[in-house]
Parts: sequence; C-alpha cells; structure tokens
Amino acid sequence: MLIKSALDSFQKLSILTQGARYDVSCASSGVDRKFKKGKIGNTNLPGLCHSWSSDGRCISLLKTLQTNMCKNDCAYCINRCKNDIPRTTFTPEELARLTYEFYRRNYIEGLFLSSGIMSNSDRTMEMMISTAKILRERYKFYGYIHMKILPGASDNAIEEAIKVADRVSINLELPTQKSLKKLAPQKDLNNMISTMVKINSIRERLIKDFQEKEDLFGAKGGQSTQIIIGATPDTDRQILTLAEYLYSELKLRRVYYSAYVPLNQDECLPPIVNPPLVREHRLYQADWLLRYYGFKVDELFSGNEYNLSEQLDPKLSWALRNIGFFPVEITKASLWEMLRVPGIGPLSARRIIKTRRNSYIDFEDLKKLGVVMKRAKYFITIRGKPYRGVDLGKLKNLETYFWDPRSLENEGDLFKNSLGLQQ
Amino acid sequence: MKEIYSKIPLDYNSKRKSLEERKQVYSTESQNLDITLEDSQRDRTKAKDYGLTRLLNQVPKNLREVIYYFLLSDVSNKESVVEEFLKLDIDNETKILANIRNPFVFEIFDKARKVRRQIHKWKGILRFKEIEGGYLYASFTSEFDVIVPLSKHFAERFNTERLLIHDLKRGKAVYIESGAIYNIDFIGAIPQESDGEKVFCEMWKLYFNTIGIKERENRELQDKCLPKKFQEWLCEFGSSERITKNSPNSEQLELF
Repeated sequence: MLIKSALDSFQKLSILTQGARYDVSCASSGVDRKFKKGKIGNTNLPGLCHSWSSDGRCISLLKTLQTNMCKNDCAYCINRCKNDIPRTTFTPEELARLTYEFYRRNYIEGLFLSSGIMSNSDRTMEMMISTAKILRERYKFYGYIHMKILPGASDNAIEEAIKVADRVSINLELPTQKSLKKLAPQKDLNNMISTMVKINSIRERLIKDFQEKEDLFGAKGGQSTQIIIGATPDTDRQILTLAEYLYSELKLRRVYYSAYVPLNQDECLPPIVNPPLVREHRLYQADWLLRYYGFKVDELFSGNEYNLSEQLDPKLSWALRNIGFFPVEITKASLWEMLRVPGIGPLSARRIIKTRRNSYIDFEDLKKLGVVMKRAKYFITIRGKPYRGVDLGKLKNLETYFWDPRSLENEGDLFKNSLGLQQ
Repeated sequence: MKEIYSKIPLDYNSKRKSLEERKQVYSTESQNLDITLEDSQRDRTKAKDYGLTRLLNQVPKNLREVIYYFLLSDVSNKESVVEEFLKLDIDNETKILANIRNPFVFEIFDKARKVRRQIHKWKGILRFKEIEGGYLYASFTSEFDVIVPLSKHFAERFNTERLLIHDLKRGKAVYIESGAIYNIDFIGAIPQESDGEKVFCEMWKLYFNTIGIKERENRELQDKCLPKKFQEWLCEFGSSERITKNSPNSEQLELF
C-alpha cells in the first residue's frame, strides 16, 4: 500500500486534496492578527477569498490531508480503509514548504490541515503539529492555520495543536449517536462533544497563562465542526437543534453543513445520485437566522414539521406562518422586529435605525440602504402606508393558504412569482 | 540586489532621498491622508489640491475614509462632488446615512462602497510571481485607482519580501521593501520568472482543478463570485500544462 517513494509532489497534492475536498469549511475569518516585522503573513478579520472553484465554493486555504491512510471505516468517506485507492503522506517539510510558497504568491490565506488516522490519532497529530511548527518557526509564517483535532487525540496533542493553530475543529459528521453507530462505528458522539468541551478549557487556560515570551496562536478563531446532510434519515430539526446547542453551550463559531456526495457503494448508504444541495442551502439560511437574527430552532418549524421547506427560505416561511406579526412599521420598529422582515438583514436594519434617527425616511431610501424590496414590500409600512400597489389586507387573508409551504408549490404560482421566488 | 536596482531603478536612487521617502511612506502607513491624497490626485492643480486637503483634515477619520475611497474611484468630477459634499452639515459617518436622499451623498456612499469592495477583492486575487533576483512581481488593472491601499496591505503582509506591484492601466508601480513603499518607474524590461515559479504555479493549478467537487459543479456560481474580468488575471483559469517526471522541467521537482 505504501507507495510514497514512487510519488512526486504533484501526485501527492492531487491525492491528498481529493481526500480533503469534501470538508466544506474554508473560512479564514474571525482572527485579526496584525503583521509583525520579520514574519510573513497576517490575518484578516472578515477573511479573504483567493479564488473560486468549479463548484462555486470560495478557496481561501490550502485544504489538504497530512495522510489519506486511515484505520477507520466510515461508510461515507472516500478515505475509508476498505477503499482501494492510492495512499500517500505529505512529509511535514514538504507540506510546510508548499504552504509557504503558495502563501507568498498570494494564492492562499493559509493552511487547512486535516488527516486520516494512520496508526493512532496521536502519531498522526504529531505529524500535523510538526507541519504547523515548521511553518511557524522555520518559515516565520504568521498567516492562518486551521487544524483538525482527530477523534481520540490526547490532551497533550490537543494543547500542542491549539498553540500553533488559529482555529481547530473536530467533525461530528453525523448528528445522532444512532447514525454514527451505523455509518461510522469508530466515532462516538459523546466522546467528540466532550473533546469540544476539553478544547475550550485548554484554550482558555493557555490564553490566561500566556506570557509574552513566544507566539501563542491559541486558536483564537475558536472551534468549528461539520455535519453531513442526507446520508442518514436525521431531520433538519435534529440537526439544527444540535447546532443551536453547539453555538449556545459550546460556543462554536461555525457549524458547517455538507451535502452528502455519494462516493462509496455500501448497503447502509442511501441510494441517492445527486447531493441534496437545496437542503444544504436551507440549513445554512436557518443557521444564519440562529446566529444573526435572533431566531430559535422551534420558530423555524411549524408544530409537526421536522424538515425545512425546500421551496421557501426559512425566514419567508416563518413570515407566512406568522403573518399577523406584520406589517412592521419601519419608522418605529425595534431592531428585533425589523430582523424578522424578509428582505431586511442585520446590516440594512442597523442602517435604517441610524437613518431614521436623523432624517425622514421613505420606501425609495430603503433600497439604497440595502433592503431587498421585492421581498420586504409585502411586510412593511412607512408612516402607516404600505408600498405602492401592495394590498396588505389580501396577504393577511392568505394566512391559512400559505400555512403549509407545500401548498404554495402546487397552487400558488401567482404568489410565488409576485414574491420573487422563482428558483 | 544591486543588479536589480540597475534593472529597475527607483525614482529615488540616492540613499538620503530614499530615507526622506521612507518618512513619507510611514505616514502613508499611518493613513495620513495628505500623502495618499496627493498620490492619488497627481494630475490636479496644486492650489485646488491643498484646498481640499485642508478641508478634509477637518473631518473625522471614519468619514475621511469614505471620501478617500470615493477619490480613488473613476468618477470624472469627483473633486467638485467632494467639495459640494463638504459644504453640507455632515461631520460623521452616521450622518451620511441620514443624508442618503442627497444625490451627492449617495454617490459618495455608493462609490466608496464599490471601491472598498474592489480593494478587498484584489487583496485576495492579486497574484505574485517570483522573478529573477527573488523579487515578487504582481500586475493588475482596475477601473479604480487602488494601488495605494493594496500596497499598504501587502507591505504589511509580506514585510519579509521585496515586492513590485504594477498597475498596468495607469502605468503606476510601487516597490516595497521591509514594509516601506516607494513609487517607481520601470525603465527596462521586467526580469524573467525564476526557476521555481513554474512549478508552484502548476501545483496551484493542479490544486485548483482538484478541489472542485464534480457532483456539485456550478460554473454559474463561480462566474458570479468571480466575474470574467477578474478571471483573466488568474493563472488557474488558463490552460494547464502538467509537469510530469518526464517533461523538460522535471528537474525542478528536485525543489522538494
């Protein structure tokens, strides 16, 4: 199996990128580190995208594996030990050099380093940490590093990783113990959750005890995780409830949702051909509502629903279910109320508040402030008056009609178009 | 080092002058508007320039940033728009929003936003090539005059490198060393790419072509995120010449 010596760097890069590309996280945001004389690199708080790949995803980091050799047998994963694929390993020197050379040409914002588990987690983590240390020490690299914490890593390995990384993550992959048991028998939900708790406490201790002697990166960008969507019968409600818990209790920065791409033949996998991209998109929209709009998971689903509507975005679904909440009066509404209006986001809502404090405001100004009027116009009034041509009374009577979003798909083309929802 | 200087003489070739320039550069770094403004407004008459500078010095920093970005834009009568703008009772950023109905104000707000976005874009997609002598060279064109803010970003990020950034549309270029930024003119040809350059560029193309998931292919989204006018600047969007063990460049693989 080990054909390392026969492979050149090109082949390694190709194999190890193929093994890493299903990990969707590519954020380089969340850490604002100024430059330092004599070091190469800094980090940019909002993140920077350096390119966009053929699937439309932003490329920000060099996302690759240390090795694609893996002792685990997770049914959904391309690197599962059962698969007969070429296996290889980057030496720490090789990968550090590659990252440095890519970085100084401004191809990337930094390194995203994941890995299969070669013989045991700690030995593999050791190699990953060594890569990061070579970058930090020999190449004086001051840019972004995202490191995976492998399940089963020791406290010591976790601590070493946190010292050199800007963000660490451990992927849950599946949202329930039952699903994990079925598809990834070597993973355990409770163990991974307790590792997340451990990561938090190690981070806090390191940052507290920090002495200005050397550089401590301290995973200041926090933790993230990923959940695969559609490989198991788990519902959106289960997934989002877990996400809400991770955000509120474990202070995760991001939960990523990755539409299941069928890579392997296995009877325990669902027989789908195309990844559920719309579902993934709706989950991201819901995730944003949880993090930036003050929504709770229970609000996103009507009583007996367990999955988000694919036809309507979750915010519009909520608005149609709660049509009695509208119209929102733009000259008086609180930030919280405005954030409930489809077409108004956190930025435009804050701008409206700043604007109306000092000035007369009218519908034509809203567009300039960033409001998507083709949505918002059905849900707002200004000084008691609706947008021209909109009959709010009509919408109110449609409450029961809109209640089940699926009815819209069958009968509501008229409204669908008027709401600008053509997909 | 010496060799390159003769190839690419700086405007300021005596050591004393370059120290003077260094002083100016440091004030550019601290976002002193006088310097950057003068730099971006080369063609204007001096009297008018100083008048505007004096006026601008009276407005608070966050507002000055908005005006600064606006002045980098491609609006033809931007000086008079700014002068008109400065007559209004606007002394902070919040008041811009309150005056959004005023076309002068909206134009400034809107253009400044576009310029800022484009600077952000170029920070991500400006590509450096290693040329002979170990310099990193990048060229670009943009409808906005963004070379100063870009230089500032790269002077910090790559402060261990020697950089050349070249705005082909305006014929402007800067040389950056140890975080200091110099205006330069290219006299001779730009040196050739270094030996290692091709290898890393090809590796980057390989990475780029591998990271996309074919089951998720979405060229429309790709073009939306990165419009075609930007794509032509990126080597990964061009054709790919795979270097293999048997190709003429194979000795370069020894780099590893």
